[in-house]
Amino acid sequence: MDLETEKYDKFLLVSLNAKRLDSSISREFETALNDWIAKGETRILLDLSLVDFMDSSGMGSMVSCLKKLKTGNNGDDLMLCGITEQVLSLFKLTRMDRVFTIFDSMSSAFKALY
Amino acid sequence: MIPTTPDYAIHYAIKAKAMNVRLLGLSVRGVSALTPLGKSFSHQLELCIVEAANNIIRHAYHQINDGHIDLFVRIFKEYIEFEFRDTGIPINTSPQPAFKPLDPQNVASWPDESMKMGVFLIQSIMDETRYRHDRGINHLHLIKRF
Repeated sequence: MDLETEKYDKFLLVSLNAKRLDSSISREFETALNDWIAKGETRILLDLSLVDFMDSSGMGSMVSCLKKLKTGNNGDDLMLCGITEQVLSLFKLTRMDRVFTIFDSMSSAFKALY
Repeated sequence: MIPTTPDYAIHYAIKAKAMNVRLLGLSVRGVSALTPLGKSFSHQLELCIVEAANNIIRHAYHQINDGHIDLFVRIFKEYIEFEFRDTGIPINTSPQPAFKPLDPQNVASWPDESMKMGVFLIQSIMDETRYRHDRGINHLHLIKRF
């Protein structure tokens, strides 16, 4: 699993360089996110533009981290961008599109957050 | 369903490991191209197969990397059928708590443990799901009509 990060003043950008967020990598992924949260990151923008498949374990790892952030200060968040149509169908089936803040692309995320 | 001869049939046999589930999913995505179902449904079928296989690893084999999973895929004129077979612990068929969409306004209500999303996805996407335990073998049938 390959994660790239870039720190901006308003959030940490995390890009997942993997085609599949599934049970093979979901624990490692969740651990990485939790590590950043433990280091004090409170707003994370997750770029999923390369991910063309996600299963419930991948979704569950993101929900777990989102819950951790949302129970912190008001405004703490795990935001998502670049979700493909196939992955978005999972969000819609489970109504997680109502739970997460989702941007179409990284550029639209930056426009909204600055 | 009246049993007939499928137009296509293929049998996969994998060791019950997470990386092998990926192979199964990708294979099913490819096989789905033989059906009239569009690309979005191929992806949903892949999701169902991955969820079912993960559940077998997690619950039937309790994550012990010792078991095997057989998947039979049969394509008929009007539907595609997936049959999983494993020799793990039988499914608990008593009523279980179901997946509930999260309330975005009530974070405290979000479960910390498994959300049972996998079963919900399978039942939402597939038209028919059937399970039986027969002489030490679990059989899970998933059917999607065209």
